[in-house]
Amino acid sequence: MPSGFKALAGVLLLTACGNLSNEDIAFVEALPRTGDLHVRVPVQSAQPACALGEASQWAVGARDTGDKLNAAVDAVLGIIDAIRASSPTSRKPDLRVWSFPDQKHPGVRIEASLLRVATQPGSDPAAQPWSFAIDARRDGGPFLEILYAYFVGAEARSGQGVIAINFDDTRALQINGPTDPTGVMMVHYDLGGPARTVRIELGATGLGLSQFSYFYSGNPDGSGHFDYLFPDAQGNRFSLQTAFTAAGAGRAHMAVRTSSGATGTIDQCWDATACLTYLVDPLSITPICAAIPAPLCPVQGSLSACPAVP
Amino acid sequence: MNRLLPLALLVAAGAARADVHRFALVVGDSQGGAGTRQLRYAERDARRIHAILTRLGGVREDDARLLTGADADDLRRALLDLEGRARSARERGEETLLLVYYSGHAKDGDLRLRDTRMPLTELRQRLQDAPADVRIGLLDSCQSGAITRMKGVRPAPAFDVQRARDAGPRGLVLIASSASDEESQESDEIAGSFFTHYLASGLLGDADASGDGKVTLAEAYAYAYGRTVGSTAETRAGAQHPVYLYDLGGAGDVVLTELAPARGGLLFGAMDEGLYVVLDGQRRAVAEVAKAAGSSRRLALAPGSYIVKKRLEDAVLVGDVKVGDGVIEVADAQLSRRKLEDDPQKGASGPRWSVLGSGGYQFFFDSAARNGLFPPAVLAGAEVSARDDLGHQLAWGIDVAVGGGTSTLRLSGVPDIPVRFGELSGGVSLWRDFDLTERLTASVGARLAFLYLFRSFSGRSDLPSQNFFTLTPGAQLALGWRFSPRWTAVARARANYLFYNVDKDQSLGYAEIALGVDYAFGF
Repeated sequence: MPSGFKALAGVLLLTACGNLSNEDIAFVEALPRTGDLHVRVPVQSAQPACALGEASQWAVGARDTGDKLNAAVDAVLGIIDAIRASSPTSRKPDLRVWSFPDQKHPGVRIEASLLRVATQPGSDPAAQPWSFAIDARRDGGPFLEILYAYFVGAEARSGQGVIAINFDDTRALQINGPTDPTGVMMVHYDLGGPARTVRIELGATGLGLSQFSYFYSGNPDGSGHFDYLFPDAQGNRFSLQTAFTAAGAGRAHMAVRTSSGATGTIDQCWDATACLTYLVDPLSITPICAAIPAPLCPVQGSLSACPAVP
Repeated sequence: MNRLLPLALLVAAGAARADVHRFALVVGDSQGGAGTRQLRYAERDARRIHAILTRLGGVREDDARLLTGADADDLRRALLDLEGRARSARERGEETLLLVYYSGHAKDGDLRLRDTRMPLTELRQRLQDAPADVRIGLLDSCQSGAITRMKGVRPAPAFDVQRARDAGPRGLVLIASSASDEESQESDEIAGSFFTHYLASGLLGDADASGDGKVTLAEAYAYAYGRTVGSTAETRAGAQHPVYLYDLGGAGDVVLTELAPARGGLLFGAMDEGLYVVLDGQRRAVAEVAKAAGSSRRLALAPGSYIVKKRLEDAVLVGDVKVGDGVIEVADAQLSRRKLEDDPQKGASGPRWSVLGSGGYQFFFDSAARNGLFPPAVLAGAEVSARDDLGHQLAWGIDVAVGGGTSTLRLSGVPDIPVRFGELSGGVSLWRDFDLTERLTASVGARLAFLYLFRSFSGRSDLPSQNFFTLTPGAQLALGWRFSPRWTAVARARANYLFYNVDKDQSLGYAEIALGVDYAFGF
């Protein structure tokens, strides 16, 4: 290159500035968004008088639990959304770094780095791996890792990944929420197949949720599976495996540990209005059976009333 | 050498133009090769004379040759061609006249055409031997008077009365713009050389001292001589004295232009007196009229729009005139009175301002850039420019443009993302105008601009908007066609260099093509 041209390029280099970048967009498209990992439990239609006289409290509980899970995921992915909405502070061919002070927590500085793992030329974009980490430090102290993630796929909406949130470090940095659990929360997701799956392993009770390995699988038609833990007001804990149709009808198999220490299972079905249509409650825990000593509560409704679920 | 023609004798002898088959070779060359400085207006001078000769001088387009940017061999070939045509005409029994006009460099006894030379002796010999009844050489170049001092030419003979009764004029006339030891001067104010400017003014009618509607060789020379000496007397180079060699026999003088056949023109009435300057739409003088009260004077101008002005001691009178088929009478009472400082030419100071509004299209040369970061954009812009501010036909301008569009961002493995983008740019330009014809001007120049690009992603509020700012140097080329004194249609192309450095360091080029209309302020 002639020296004059170099000098001109040098001058123009000094004057060229901005964030116009296709690569930046390619990087942030690999990051999951809050809505990508939501649990989507169908909303039942308006509830009439139920034939068995009772609505399924677990059908309603599934929505409540799903909402809490979504809120927990949003709390984590909200940080990623904020990162996505801003421009990187440093760029290298396969690395973007965002560094900024945490506006909510004075004295805390956050650094996020997203590395595009090298692959063979011509590789399937859907198999592109990414490594993502968010570190933070307070008042010039050491950086602590508050989030680590590994994604696969050029676009998170159709990719897979695992996200680990270290609540012990957020607590050490004093940026934790009042209901945050301790330990590490793992979020696994796979949005690339026919069914969206999200599994959240909560190491300790917190975020309004019990310590449990929550699992959600949603089909494109709106039907799906949802495994969750549900404590009731009487101190009973229900571990549910539910399956539901797109309209909201469903069936559940529950493992129960009562407040008195008894264990057993309950099976039930409900319709699109969340009314119970079938119930097997040998522990007499449900309101319908509450007045009947266990295990004498008869089968309520008909198994044929149960919906076909995935 | 005598510098004043025996005018009275020639006028008395009468003049003739009709039935003479005329041929003209008109040469303008601003480049004189090594050791010479580029002339600014030589080619424009040639075009002016060519236009006058073909419009008023009885020279058919087929019989006229206009050479600009030519070398000596081109000149020789063109002269040979016209000699052949003249010979043929003569063999058919026609009266013939061959005129050679040259505006350019001459030095050390040679015409300088770029890096080639043609000795003045050669040109004179060619004219002397040319197969035409009348041969006229008009040279507007430095030291061109040397051509009239060469050996072998007899001085003007005593007028042969007997022969004059039988035939028209015959012989050789050489007229040079300056003496053999003088420089021929150009003027930015009149955008031409002094001599050709006054020669042209005279041929258009102001030299018609007899008022018979014909401008003879003697009238044109006398006029050009007087006005050239008068106008250059106060210049730094000193007075410039045109010279002539007149070896013409026969009856009458040679009529160079006839005003009557021309369709239109300006008529300066008998009541007014003074010096009038006629400008074209580019504010360049096309003719002058210096007249006394009591006689009218007609300028046979080509159809078009002109500005007439007359300087007074404390003001300037100005008026727009549109010349068509008829004769437009100009009177002081019809002109507007302006302040002297508003006079953009001939003694006035300050630039001529104009505003250009344009619409255009921008695209990057690199297909990857065009389909990615820098999609094609539609632009609307405005530019303020100043001419006659820097001299040398240089102009400068400041421009601003806004534009934008929509596109689609395509990334591997990611659904298409709609993009809305915009840009703001502005720059300063410096260019030189080249007059191709009286109405058509080409411009070549350079521009340094800033470019601010921004884009957002429709329906994707989670993605940040992006922007980029840089300086972009470039070159520009424009064509302007003046369709009225104030309005010019402009087509312009720019090529720019852009240094992009966000994703990676990259040298890019892009072009802007624009069409617009320029409005000139002032007169």
